[in-house]
Amino acid sequence: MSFPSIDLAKELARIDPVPWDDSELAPLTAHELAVLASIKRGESARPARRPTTAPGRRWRRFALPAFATAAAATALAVVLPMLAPTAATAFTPPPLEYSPIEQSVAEVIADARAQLLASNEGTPSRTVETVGWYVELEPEESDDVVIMPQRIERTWNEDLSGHQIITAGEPYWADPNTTVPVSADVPAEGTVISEMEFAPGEFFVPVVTPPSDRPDELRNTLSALGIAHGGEDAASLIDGISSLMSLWTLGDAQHAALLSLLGESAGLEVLGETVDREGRDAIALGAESLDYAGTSRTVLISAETGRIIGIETARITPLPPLGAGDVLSYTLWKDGP
Amino acid sequence: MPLDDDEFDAIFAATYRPLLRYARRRLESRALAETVVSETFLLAWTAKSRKQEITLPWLYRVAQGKIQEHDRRPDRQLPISSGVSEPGADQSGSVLDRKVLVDALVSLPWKEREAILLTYWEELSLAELAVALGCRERKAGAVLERAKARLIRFVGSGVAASSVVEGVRDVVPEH
Repeated sequence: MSFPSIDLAKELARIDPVPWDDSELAPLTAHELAVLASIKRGESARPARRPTTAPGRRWRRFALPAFATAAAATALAVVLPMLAPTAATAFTPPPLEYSPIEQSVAEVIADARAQLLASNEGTPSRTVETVGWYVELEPEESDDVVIMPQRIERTWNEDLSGHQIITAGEPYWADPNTTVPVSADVPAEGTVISEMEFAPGEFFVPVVTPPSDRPDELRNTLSALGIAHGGEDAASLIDGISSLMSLWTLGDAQHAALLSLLGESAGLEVLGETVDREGRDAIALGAESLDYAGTSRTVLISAETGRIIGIETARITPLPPLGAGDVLSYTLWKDGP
Repeated sequence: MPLDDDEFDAIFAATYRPLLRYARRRLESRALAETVVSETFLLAWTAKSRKQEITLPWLYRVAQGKIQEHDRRPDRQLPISSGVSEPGADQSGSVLDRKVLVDALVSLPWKEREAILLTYWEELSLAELAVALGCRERKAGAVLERAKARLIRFVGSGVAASSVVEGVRDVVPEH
């Protein structure tokens, strides 16, 4: 069989979705200068708000890794209004169910801290394992949606080298009442989705020293990770904790310090007792985000150990096709150092 | 020698837009592309004090990692994939159907696809490609050659599958 001899340069230029144009020679725009300024302050800039994808794209998916929950939440805010509303389709995992408890935020945190300081196990480690999920929308399909969690194993070193592997978690239907098996074309649990080696210097971490167990020093570390408002409001603090825990498996003492910061933050409320998506008993605290209107953050505290074992984001207000209460992402950590 | 602020500013001005174009070519969402670029420059800002030479190919290399962190789609299609609908020769005088080419490109292993795109879209030299792929020049050359061969083979298969007879002239639209 003979194959066409093709001019690859010409053919590939023809399908280039973002070809070069003269406007790239223009001076930096105000937005680009703001990006530069934020980078020099050690912060990741937020994307400019603008319409994004063209009509007809089949997939609009937005990853919400712990690394950049806040930034990706902005992407959601930008794009979701463009999606056509659909009725009664489960796009997201069922929300956690809460049983009311009598304790205040301060009492929940005091109890958890007492557990942690009594056990005081573990020290910060640069190896992290998480199981997470982020919203995926397939607007053209009206059938139920399969939730495909992903397991991330990330190890990095002081010289900023590292390794990361992402594998498929166990898929399940968004609608818990669906009884048919998940389609075979969904990646099976354990399927390697990506694997990445980072040479020295390539793994981006603003602070390489192990996190302190002192709340004031931990707040500085969270600030270096880009926490908004100095972490004074609970939701931005939870975003910062998510970023920190995407880099470090913390010891009990650090978890206790994080809980102290949460206790000092504004806007936190007790949601109740729950069972998380790994079947673990937990107490949930929640807060409305000031940065991303209409969304909330929930932090799950292990009833067994007092450690932070999960963080979820959800819609508070409807944003079609998502409804109020729909989960946007979740990340779960193991319940131990 | 570590870069000073002015030198970093100059590098940013020279590389921000090419890097954003790089990310947008690989991600569906412009907002996510901007996040990737911002985080890439954050790393560069941190790295400048360690005397890391900040070049566009090195920034591409860092951005690859950022894209993998952010874009966890199992299939991780290129934005062009969803823009290609029905097969059929276009009117550009090309010898190839767009869909055949896109399908072939998407079928390549990730590293080989990157080698192709970095060479033809980002127009990197072989030495620059080696930096971007994080390997020696000889290996980069081997990856690129293997990628080209595989791409052409895939294209050939796609053309055959489209019931278009073999040979260049057979798939050139009539003018």
